[in-house]
This record gives sequence, structure tokens and C-alpha cells, in this order.
Amino acid sequence: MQHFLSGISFGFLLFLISSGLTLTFGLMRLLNLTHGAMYMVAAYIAIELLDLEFNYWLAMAATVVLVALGGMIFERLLLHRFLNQILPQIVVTVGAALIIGDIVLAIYKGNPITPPKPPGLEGAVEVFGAFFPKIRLALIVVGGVVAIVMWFVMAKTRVGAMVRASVDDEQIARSVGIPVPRLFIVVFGVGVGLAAFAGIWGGAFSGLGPGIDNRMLLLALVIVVVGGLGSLKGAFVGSLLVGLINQYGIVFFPQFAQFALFAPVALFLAFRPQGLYGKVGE
Amino acid sequence: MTALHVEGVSISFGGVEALSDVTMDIAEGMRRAVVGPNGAGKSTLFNVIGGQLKPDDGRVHLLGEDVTRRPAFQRAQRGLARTWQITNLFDPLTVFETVQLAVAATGRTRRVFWKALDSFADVSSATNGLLTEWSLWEHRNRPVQDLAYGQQRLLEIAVSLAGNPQVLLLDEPTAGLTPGEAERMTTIVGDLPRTVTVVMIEHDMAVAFALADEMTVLAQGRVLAQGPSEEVRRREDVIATYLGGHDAPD
Amino acid sequence: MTGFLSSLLPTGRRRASTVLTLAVLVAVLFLLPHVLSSFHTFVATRILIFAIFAMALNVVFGQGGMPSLGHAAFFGLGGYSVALGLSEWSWSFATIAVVAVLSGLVFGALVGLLTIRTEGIYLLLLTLAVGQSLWALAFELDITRGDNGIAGISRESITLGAQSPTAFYTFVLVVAVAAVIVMWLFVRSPVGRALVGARESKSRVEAFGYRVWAFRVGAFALSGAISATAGVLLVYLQGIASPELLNWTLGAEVLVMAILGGAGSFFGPALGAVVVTMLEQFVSSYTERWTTVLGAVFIATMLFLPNGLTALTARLRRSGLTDDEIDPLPRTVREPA
Repeated sequence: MQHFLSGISFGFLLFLISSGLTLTFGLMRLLNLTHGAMYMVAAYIAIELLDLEFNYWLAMAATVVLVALGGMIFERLLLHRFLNQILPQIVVTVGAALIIGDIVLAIYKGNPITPPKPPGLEGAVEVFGAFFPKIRLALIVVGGVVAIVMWFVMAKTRVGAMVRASVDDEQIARSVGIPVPRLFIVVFGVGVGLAAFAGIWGGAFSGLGPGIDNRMLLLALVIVVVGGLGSLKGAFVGSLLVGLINQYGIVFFPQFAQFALFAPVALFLAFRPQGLYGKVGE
Repeated sequence: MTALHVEGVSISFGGVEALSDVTMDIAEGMRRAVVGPNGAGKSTLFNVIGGQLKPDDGRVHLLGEDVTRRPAFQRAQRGLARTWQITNLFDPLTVFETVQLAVAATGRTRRVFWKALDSFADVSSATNGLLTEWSLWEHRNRPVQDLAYGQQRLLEIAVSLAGNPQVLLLDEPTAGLTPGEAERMTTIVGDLPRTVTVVMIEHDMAVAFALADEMTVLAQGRVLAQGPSEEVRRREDVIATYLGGHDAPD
Repeated sequence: MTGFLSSLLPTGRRRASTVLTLAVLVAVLFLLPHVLSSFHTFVATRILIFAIFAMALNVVFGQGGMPSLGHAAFFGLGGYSVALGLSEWSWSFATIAVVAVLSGLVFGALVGLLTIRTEGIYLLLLTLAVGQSLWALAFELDITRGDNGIAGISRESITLGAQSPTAFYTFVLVVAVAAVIVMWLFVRSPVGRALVGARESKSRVEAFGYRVWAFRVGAFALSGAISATAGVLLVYLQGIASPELLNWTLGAEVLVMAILGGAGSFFGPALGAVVVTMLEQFVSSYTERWTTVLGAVFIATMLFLPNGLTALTARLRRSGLTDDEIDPLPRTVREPA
């Protein structure tokens, strides 16, 4: 049972990262390859702020806001001009990710590091006869809340309706007066903010080291395409699936855990390239 | 022989019936116009005949052979050619390269992957001939996207004839042309040899009546009337639905 | 023979200058190792290898319009053919070469089959998953010794005497020239032209009569075989094979090389490989932050030359070498009667 919970909690962590990525793609046709770097840099910034003895929650909120702002500036200054050109997007976002990764490497010299856990969430709790880290449980709760809030905003609010309209047909959305560029920035910022939060908590229970940005980005990309590009529901289901497959892969195929994850995904996509909930043909 | 035989073709998209039990027989050498209001299914019909779409029901016979299951490239090999309404002729290519590609498609060079296309003299000379015939020789090295719209439409037809097809589908040949250009296009289509069976979608009824021996009137995916042009012209229901004298507004 | 040679080159009035430029370039390349230090020869060899790889990727990507983020898998297949072939089964060089090229070809064809139903960004991410599956095998199989990889690979058994750095460089250069000729002929052939057309409008090219799906499979097979060849060469160069050869990050890097150099042109990817590899190798001797420099160059290049570096060279010097948007005059230049 603890495996199930581990898988689910990792899945929720992945959802926090991949939801931003899928929304950004669905809305802006933008493939943001800096997403993994955002995850990583947020954790490091949080560590620095916490070193300066700030209150945990304050430091966490500040980091999320800071990273989200940084992301939004990046979008407005650099990415916006490449909105329908996927090739330059790839190069620019790879370039930015390299720079961020290298700066982190410069400061921390490749030593693995772990952000502290949130106060009150250290330690474990007995669940179904085994001990389970509190922070992972909290992640399930928070992830669930975020998913519900996102669903609510998208389905029931005016902002959500505007986003959905813009995803469906940007030209018409613009002509109806929807402030599309502003939506882009906001959605991008929210996505990056979520990834930042994921980095702070995810880093807390699984540690960070060089290459974590690429690993997380890879998983996020896989989830986004398995779930269906642009589909939030797909990102949710895909994240939980990948979290579970990852966990059970480690349990049942310890030597071939990675293969057990990627091979079924490849096979699934070969037969269903649009993923679970994606549109057929872009 | 029947050049093109379409039988009982039906196709739906997302619950909407685009074509419903469409049957059409076109004899060799004839000129048939497919007319009807917007959304009647004319382009869909062309896509079914061309192989771009598979019908839910029905069959397509080309020059006596059932091609319903055959992909578009095989239909081209068997003598079918078509033009496209949206002129997206390979933008980076030049006029010459475009015609050359079309010429090579039905010849013995089409599967060659080890030798440059330019090295085949027979392809080049056929291309030059076609360019000259269609007054495109002086534009041969210009990128296709640089041509004026009227010239692009001419290129469209030239390219469709590159493989010496026996059945040619023309998708709105005069659409978007100035009256002078449309008149020139009408003459050109009219001058096509009778070795080629021509089926055209036309919105301009004057052009349709000038060029077509026979007509098929489609409305809401069904065949409303079919037969020699003069007969179709006189039918009350056709006039009521669509004709009203000249072309209906788009 | 002269017919074959003449079919290689662009025609018309630019032929003389193109032949001259090519001849000079190739001559310079052959002379290089004799004037460079052995470290610089190493770098030059590495550049050649990645130029081959990037151009092979571009056959399906820039030319064919089929993006692939899993191309490192072919590279690794070639690389591990050497590593495993030597360390486990003591294969001869000929066997290694045949196995590498065949496995690249076959696996390439299999991936090519996927393009029948998948295009664009979906294909990009599908190839990512496929490539990572192969990476996972390299990482997790016992025989490949996981993360440590297989080291101690020597060039002794290369039958053509390519042991010393200079000799090996020359060997790689010969392979590179051969690969470029093969790719050039392919891209210029009817099949290659149909593929380029199909990149813009698949239905049209099919309606002309071309069996596009088969051409795409073939292009992937060719691309896979040549990428595997590049992988073989790299492992012989570095003496070690590791799962990093198949990691998606390497595939992404080569993709960036192609885009940076100019994915729309034939030699663009090679230019990208030159620039990126030189930055990696030489900037690192000035600063540890060479990765930052690399990232900055990527961003700067896209800001000023979004179509890649060849757009710049095309403006500077219109020759048949760097910009394949220039159309050759028709073979028969006779004006019709």
C-alpha cells in the first residue's frame, strides 16, 4: 500500500510540473524546455532564503513568486517573438535551461543538496501499517487541491472560459476581445510557479543534484504527450499513471525500472500518438 | 468505357452527413461540372474520388478498376490527376522544380533515390515542354510563391497534366481570377484534348455551362439532378435550389 | 563515371566556382591534421563526427520535415556495436561496421514506420520515448555495464591502419565525404525531392503519384544508418561507450546544432556542429562557464538569425554550397523553338 501512496504522491508532484507545461503548450503552442530548470532553480533559491533564517512559508512563497516572475519576464522578452516558430523555441529554451543549469552548477559545484522540509511536515506517519513521510501525504493533499482549483477555474470561471476559448481558436478569441497576450503571460507564470513549488517540496523528499532539471523535464514531457498535449485532465491522469508505473517499476523490475517506464509509453504512443485526451492531428 | 464511376458513396464527419448515396457515371472524354451551394459536399466528393478521404459506404471505379481501397498515389499512377483549391504549391520550390517533380512522379524515375533528379534528361525536356506550353518558361526559376495568383492557378493545371492523366479533377479553376483571367482559363480548359476526361467543381455557372457537357447538382450531400447540361438547366427544382440565373454568392 | 560525378554538382554557370570551392575545402580538410596539434586534431575529428550526425538527422528533420528527439538511439546503436563487439565478442572491424550500419538501418526503418501515423510535435515526443527506451536498455542491461559504460576501446583492429590521431582523422574525413555524397544524392534524387515536397504538402505529393510513406521509412533508414556510423566513429575516437550516447539530451543537442546552423539548408547542420563543438572545446579553456556561453550563443543566434547561421552566409556569398534554396538552372538550357 505504501508503494501505491508513494506512486500517487510522486504522481501529484509530477502533475504540479506537467500541468504548467501542458497548458502552456495548449494555449501558446509553446514547448517550454526550461521547465525542468525552473523546478531546480526554485529549490536552490528556497534553500538560500531559508539559510537566511526566513520563515519557511514566507521563503517558499517568495521563491515561487520570484521564479514565476522570472518566467513571465523571460516569456515576454524572449519567447513571445517566437510564438509560432517551434524551432527557435527549442533552441532558445534549451539555451536558457543550459544557462540556468550552469549558474546553479557554478554556485553549488554539483553537490547534491536537499531543501528542508516544511515545518510540521517532517517525519512520518503511520498509514496502513507502515510509516509514510508526512510531506508526501501533504503533497497528495496539496496536489489534489491544486487539481480541483484548476479544474474549477477552467470550467467555471470567466478566466477559464477565456483560456479555453483561446486554446480552441486563438484568432476568434482575439477578435472577440479576449486579451490573449496577457493570458499567455499569466498562464505561463502560473505554470512556472507550480513547477517552482514542486521543486521546493519535491526537492525536500527526493533531493536534488546535477541533472535533476533534465530528469524532471523528461518526465514532464512524457506525461504531457501521454496525457494529450494541452489537456489538463490528460496531465492529471498521465502524472498519476507515470508516478505509479515509476514506483511499481522500481518494485517489480528493479533492474529495468527505466525501461519499464519508457517502453510502454513508447508503445502506447506508437498506437495512439495523440495520447489519452489529446486532439487528433494538430 | 466509363472513365469514372462513383456508386453509393456516403461519408459522415462527426455525425454530419457530408455525402449521402452519391452515384455518378462519367464516360470517357466527357466534361462534367459538379455544382451546388456551399457545403453541398463538392470538395468532399473530390477528396473521395482522389483518395484523400475514404468513404463510409460506396465504391469508386477509375477507368474500369475499383480503386476504393487504393491510396491516392496509386490512383495517380492509374491515370487520375487533380488540382487543389488552396494554392499551397510547395512554397520553397521554383516553378521549374515543381513541374519537374510532377513530371517525374508517373515515370520510371519515381523510385530513384541514388541519383539526382536533375540528371534525367527526359524529365527535364518534358518539364521544359510543359513550361513553354503553359507560358511559364520565363518564370521557371522563380519561387512559386512569387507568382501572381492567376499564374499560380495556371501552374496548378500545368502540373496536373504533367503525368498525362486520363481523368482530371479541376477544383474551382476560375476561383479568385479576374474576369479576363477567368475567360482565359475557360478557353484553356475548353481546349484540353478529349483524351482527358474532365470533372470540375465550378461556382461560376456561366463557366460551367460554357464548358460542361453534363452536370451533377449536389445539395446537402445528395445528388439533386444529373445529366446533360441543358436538361439540368431546365429543371424547376434545380433552379429553385440554386441556379436562379447566374452564380450564387459564396 | 563522369555522368555520376556531374550529377553530383549543381549545374550551369556556378559549376566552375562550386567545384573549385569544394576542391579547396576538401584539400584543406585533408591537410589539417598535419598542421594541427594532436588535441586540435581530436577536436577536428569530433567536429567531423558530429557534422555527419547532424546532417544525418537533418535528412529526416529539416529536409523531410519529420522532427526526431530520439536520434541518439541510432548513434548509440553504432557506438555499442563497437563497444560490445570488441569487448564481448571480439568482432573484426568489418563485422562491427556491418552490424552498426545494419542495426541503424533496420531500427531506422522501424522508427520510420511510426511516421505513417504521427507527425510534428507528436512525432518529436514519440521519438523521445522510443529513444529513451533504448537508453534505458543501455543503462540497465548487464552486458552494457550501466552507467560506467565500456572503456578501453582501442583502434587497433581498424583494418585500414587508422590508429594514430592523424590517420584516424583522415579515416573519419573519408567516411564523412562518402556520407555527404550519399546524403546529397538522396536529397537531390526524385525520392528526396518528393520528401521535401511532402514536408510542405503531403497530400499533393501523393496525388502526383509518389509513395510518400515508403520514402519516409527509407529516409529514416538512411538517417539511422549514417547516425550509427557516426556513433561508431565517436566511440573509436573517445575509446569509451556510455549510455550518455543514447540520452535524449545528446539528441536535443544535435537537433539544436541543426537548427542553429540552418535546418532548411543541406550543409547548415554541419555548420551548426562546427560552431557548437568549437564552443564546447575551446571556450572551456577560458572559463568553466562554457555552458553558459553556449546557452547565450543559442539565444543570441535565434534572436538575430532565426533561420540559422546559413541565412547569414547565404547573404554573404551566394553559392551552391550553403543555400539550397538557390535553384540550379535546368539541365537542358536550350531555349525551346
